[in-house]
Amino acid sequence: MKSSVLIVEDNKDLADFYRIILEEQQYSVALVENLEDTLSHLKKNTCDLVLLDLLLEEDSGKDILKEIKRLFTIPVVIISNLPHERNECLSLGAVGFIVKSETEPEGILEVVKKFASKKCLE
Amino acid sequence: MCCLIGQRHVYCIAEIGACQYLFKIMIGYISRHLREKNNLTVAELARRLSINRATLFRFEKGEKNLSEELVVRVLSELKLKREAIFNSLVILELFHLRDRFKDLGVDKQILDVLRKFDTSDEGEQFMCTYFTTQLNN
Repeated sequence: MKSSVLIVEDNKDLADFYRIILEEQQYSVALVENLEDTLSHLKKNTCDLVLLDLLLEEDSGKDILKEIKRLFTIPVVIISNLPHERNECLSLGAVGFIVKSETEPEGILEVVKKFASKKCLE
Repeated sequence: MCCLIGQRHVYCIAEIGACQYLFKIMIGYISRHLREKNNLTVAELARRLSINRATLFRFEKGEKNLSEELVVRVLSELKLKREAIFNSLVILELFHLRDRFKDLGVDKQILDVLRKFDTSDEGEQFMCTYFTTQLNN
């Protein structure tokens, strides 16, 4: 079964970039930009992994992480340019933390593959 | 996904097309770079991009919205690899963080990403030079 990934990112270029490289690997991808749309999407759709940016225009990524962990059992990977937030996000329940400036597109695919497939195997 | 295979590069039209915002900011620089590199007049580059000269002039002045199709055509001329496109998007976000938080610690992250560009590649060299100039301004 094809894994589905929800990307929470308000940088439209980066969001589209993630979508393209993930769709190329046959993932089903949805894009949202804020807390309300994230929760709405997760309530209505199957999702194997959330890729979540921390600095969003409308909401804090950490608040979105907390809400996802409170309401769902979906793994969340943070993708951010704020490396100092790593420990706090992991303690809040994120399963992974990608620093954008330290990774390559292949690195993102590896992390998504690792955690999206883990959900499928459960 | 539509891929064009050049002599030394593989780049994906869809990926480039995803970068509307980034390249809207840079389009004037890219256009002038392409003209200088290839020794082209505005009219000649406009012909190569299948647009008229006045339209290209307005793009270079930042006075006109760009269609995704045109962004793709212009960027195809640079022949950027996927990694270079991603690095460019990340640097632009880091510049945004730097401005928003006045955090010069971000500069180290920008320099780290700049080092990832393959400066033996003409397109990547161009991007690297552009971002380095912005960093020093």
